[in-house]
Amino acid sequence: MSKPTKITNDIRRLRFDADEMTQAELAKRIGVTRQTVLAIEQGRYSPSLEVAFKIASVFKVPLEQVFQYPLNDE
Amino acid sequence: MSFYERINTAGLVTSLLVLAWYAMQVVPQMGEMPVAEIAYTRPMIYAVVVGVILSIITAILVSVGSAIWLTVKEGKDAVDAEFGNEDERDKHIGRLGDAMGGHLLSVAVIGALVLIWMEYDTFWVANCLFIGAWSSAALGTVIKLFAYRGAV
Repeated sequence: MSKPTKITNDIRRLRFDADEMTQAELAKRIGVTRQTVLAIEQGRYSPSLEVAFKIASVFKVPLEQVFQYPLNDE
Repeated sequence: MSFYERINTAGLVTSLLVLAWYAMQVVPQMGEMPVAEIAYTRPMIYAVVVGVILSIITAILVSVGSAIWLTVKEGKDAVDAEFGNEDERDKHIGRLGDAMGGHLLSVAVIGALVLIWMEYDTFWVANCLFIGAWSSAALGTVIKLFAYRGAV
């Protein structure tokens, strides 16, 4: 079983800023299930680059405003 | 619980019932006669055939039941979004479960070969393969369910 990802994200805040966009709506726009959006949002699943870019595109922000990867915490 | 989670759970329950039925047919005979005389072939064929048919019927019932429940609870759009849309996470989890189950099946095949080399009765060889195939499918399903609930 894979370890939980170290990648963090701001999807919850971005959804809130986008008129409280629902997980279902985001899922529909990026072509995944609501459960996958939930898993990404909770940091349980790291999406593919394609899905990551689609999420950033939905919120019209650069990728690094959606996902962050801490490099200096070893 | 997602659509594929429900299908996997139903499949696991079905296969457990089929294995339990097979064990009830064969195990009681084991203490009463030599293994070469145990009538295991017909129960094994029934278990395989009925298992496949039951898993298909169960998947259909779960799909229809889920669609009705989701329509009542969240509307038709939710059904369209949920069903038949296997996304990248579903595929990733599917591959993970299939790969882990495949390893166990390999062990069962090697075990069956060893039993043949050591000239064990076909009862042991057939059951090694049958239980191995069942266990690999069950392990794959359990790993998928854990993955849906946990780390993936």
